[in-house]
Amino acid sequence: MNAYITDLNQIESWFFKLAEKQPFFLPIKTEGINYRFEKLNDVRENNEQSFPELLSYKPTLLPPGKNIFPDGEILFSYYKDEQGHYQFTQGSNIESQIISGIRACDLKGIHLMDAVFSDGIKDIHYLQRREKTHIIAFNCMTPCDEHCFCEAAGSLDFQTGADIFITPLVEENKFLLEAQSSIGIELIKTLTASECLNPVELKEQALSSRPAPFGRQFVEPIEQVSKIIHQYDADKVYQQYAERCFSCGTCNLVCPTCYCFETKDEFELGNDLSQGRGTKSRHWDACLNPGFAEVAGGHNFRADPAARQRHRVRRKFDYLPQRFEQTFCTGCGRCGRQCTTDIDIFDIVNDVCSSVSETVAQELDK
Amino acid sequence: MNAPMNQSVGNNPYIPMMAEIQCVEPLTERETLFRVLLPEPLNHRPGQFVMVGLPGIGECAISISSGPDSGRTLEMVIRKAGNVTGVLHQLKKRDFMGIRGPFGSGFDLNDFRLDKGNKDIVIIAGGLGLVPLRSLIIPIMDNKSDYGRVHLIIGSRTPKEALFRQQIQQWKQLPDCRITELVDDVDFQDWDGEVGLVTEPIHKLQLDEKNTQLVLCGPPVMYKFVLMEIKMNFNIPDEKIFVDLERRMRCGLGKCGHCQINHVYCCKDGPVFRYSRLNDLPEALG
Amino acid sequence: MKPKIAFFDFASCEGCQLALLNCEDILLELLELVDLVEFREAISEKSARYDIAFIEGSIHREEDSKRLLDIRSRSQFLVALGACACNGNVQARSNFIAPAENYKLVYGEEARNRVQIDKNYWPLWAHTRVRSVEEIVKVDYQLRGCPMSANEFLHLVKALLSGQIPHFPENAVCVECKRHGNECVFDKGLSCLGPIAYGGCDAICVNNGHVCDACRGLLPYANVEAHNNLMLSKGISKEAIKSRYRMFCSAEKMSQT
Ligand code: SF4
Ligand code: SF4
Ligand code: SF4
Ligand code: SF4
Ligand code: SF4
Ligand code: FES
Repeated sequence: MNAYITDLNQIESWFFKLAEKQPFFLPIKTEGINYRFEKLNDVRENNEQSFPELLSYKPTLLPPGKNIFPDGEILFSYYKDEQGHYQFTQGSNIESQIISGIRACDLKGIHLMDAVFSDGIKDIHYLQRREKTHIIAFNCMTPCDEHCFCEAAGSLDFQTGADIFITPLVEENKFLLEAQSSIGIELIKTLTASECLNPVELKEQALSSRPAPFGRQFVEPIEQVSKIIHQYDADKVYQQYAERCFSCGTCNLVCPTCYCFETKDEFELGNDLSQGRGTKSRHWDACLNPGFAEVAGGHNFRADPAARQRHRVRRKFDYLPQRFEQTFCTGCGRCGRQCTTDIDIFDIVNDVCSSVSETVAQELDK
Repeated sequence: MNAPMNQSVGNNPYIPMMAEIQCVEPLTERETLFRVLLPEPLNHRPGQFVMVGLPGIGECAISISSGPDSGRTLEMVIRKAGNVTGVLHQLKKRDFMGIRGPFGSGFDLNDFRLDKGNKDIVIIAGGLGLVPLRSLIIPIMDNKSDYGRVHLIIGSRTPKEALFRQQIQQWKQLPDCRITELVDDVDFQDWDGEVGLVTEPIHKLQLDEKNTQLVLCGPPVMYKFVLMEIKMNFNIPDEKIFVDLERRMRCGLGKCGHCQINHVYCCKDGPVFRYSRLNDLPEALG
Repeated sequence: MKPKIAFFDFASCEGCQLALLNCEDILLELLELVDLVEFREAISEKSARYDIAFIEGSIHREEDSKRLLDIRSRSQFLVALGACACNGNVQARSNFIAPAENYKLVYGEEARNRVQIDKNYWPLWAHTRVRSVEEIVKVDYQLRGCPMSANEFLHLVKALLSGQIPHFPENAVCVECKRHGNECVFDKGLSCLGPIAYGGCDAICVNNGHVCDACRGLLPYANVEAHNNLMLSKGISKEAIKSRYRMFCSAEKMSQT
């Protein structure tokens, strides 16, 4: 049995202990109304008190998966030796890290990224970092805010991939910790806690005390949503949203399952104006950027903002699910929360579904 | 740049092999044939592509032009179009260029063999489209007796831009090979082929429709018209029509997302697609 | 022979040159590779040709535009350096006000009145319109921003010196802002021009606790109407929005609306 019960004070002091050994991230409140994963040691320097946010925080500005897929990652560096031969070195040094306070939706996001980066030709940069990343996840007892729809997207209670999974129990200030991997078991050794003998029962109790339905729900069940998104072009719906879209890419960059990137090659100018040494790096990109699907001759395969908006929605609900058999929207609500012009993928999806049932109804009338 | 030196670099899919340039042969004003020697054989299939470039400068997707039996030698035609290709055009014999690959699905030669019942092979190439298709034509011509009748329709804008003319002459000598070369415009130059669009000779083809394999590669505008012409004249099943498409590639690994056409990644599932698959990919010919 | 690089000043604060001096170490390395012709030497050496001519500042007087045409004819690449050269910058706000009125605003009523009688008094503002470099000559590359970004400057110089084509990605400031993991200033009760502004600055203003005022100009695909509605929905007055738009992009399409 690898289940334990403890309270928030113990969890906090345990976090500080873990943070002494390796970089340890957890969500911290920003100046405004959001949260951001920060290194615990940096936080402690600036403020002494504890972090009650652990119970209430909503999804962070950037999802935790970005710690495993950092922007600007060096893919390799090179130099030209004296004989004019190119010599390559791997990339950046990868150190181990613990990310704690990951929500179920973001755990699912990381799980999906794992699938993408190990599919086909493996992306060793991601996979090496992933291997050295340990996860302490936190279950949600209430919908985080009005933007989330994790239950509808099927990621509420997602537990796979966490080394330790924490569930707040019905009894106040009591938490159930489940160690789900050998690393989890190792990490939990430094926690002061009592062993839990009836974890299944306690967890069941906690989960059934949650509001139902949990957060926003689609007008159709998720399987049906995927079919509709796949089958109908729904130009009008996408067009309507595209009209107020800036093509700013925010919705892509903050999404836990967006992983598109641009590569950048840089060199230092040598004395003979040659490119003696340099690097290749990758940078987060966004399919909502107008230039994303432009080819060498200048032809743009998605020049229209409505086509780009549809591409994003289909990637989450149609294209990637076809390839990996899972919905690629975790319902974390980030895109809607952070879009300055209030475009929410949940609304788009619902509108597409409703517009389709209207059309079908009209056809039946005829 | 403070990268550790001791880690193994073998499995980093972003690090290119450095190939030595053996020959640089300008074909037209903008297109140059590069023959390079790789540190190890590529073992590619016809229709596959490689990412070509220089460290520090960048890469772009370039079709493989040599046949699959070319061993460590690799031939590519590079058009000067942007920064990377511009820099590659400045390279000389014995310089190095970076190669990653081969990537993409490419063609399976078994789909074309006579012993698989394929009586006719039609290959239609517009402009640079001949470059990737050459990797398919070479193995067919080299083992001509294994294949049925071959019909090549090759279009260029002007005689100056016509590629591989000498080699095409040699192919013409082979049994059961009908080759039509066309230009849109003679532009006051010598030209011994025909004048017109690649769509024009299509209706004259003599085909065993049920046992024909048809391959198509050219600029994006070409596909729609050629396919229309084929559909009007022949009853070739969509699974037996292949199109070779262009997209912007960055990683070649099915990760970066730039080459995505609906739910498929061109660099992984393409760039060669059966036409029957395109029904499901409305963005493909957009 | 080393490539010749020259800098020419027009109406500007010289902030861009200052920004350049701030990246001294890289600049020193670069200086070994090129022959730097300074602005004052440049005018004495009338027949000289330049490999790269950097133009700093906006163009106000007729004689300035003549000088600019002359520089263009002698340069292989001509680069507009900074917001003043690229789109007129704050100076171009004066395009919306009659020159005499402008003069009054800047120098006071008394000076304005003196202008009417004293022919030799009105040196700088004797123009009808502030123009960007592009309005007068062909510009090969633009280094946007107020001040321009030293990184982009280095990228451009390295590319041109090694026979390459410099490339500047076209995206909104938001892209870079998100890459930095910033909290959107709209979530702090402020407003921002980032969604419609040319990026490339690495969202430096938001990174440092400010908002974006689109000093690099508007994206060609800027959805100004949606942005206007967004600003209105935040309770910002029409006048305030207009003045915000005009702050840096005066010479550009939006502010002419
Ligand atoms: S979206 Fe769901 S799982 Fe994610 S934080 Fe909100 S409530 Fe929790
Ligand atoms: S965040 Fe909003 S405005 Fe920006 S690209 Fe996405 S949908 Fe459009
Ligand atoms: S599409 Fe939006 S709600 Fe869905 S996972 Fe991405 S950011 Fe979250
Ligand atoms: S602060 Fe400005 S630039 Fe940054 S995301 Fe918000 S609107 Fe965009
Ligand atoms: S954030 Fe905006 S104002 Fe600041 S440098 Fe960038 S474009 Fe200019
Ligand atoms: S080129 Fe990157 S996914 Fe195809």
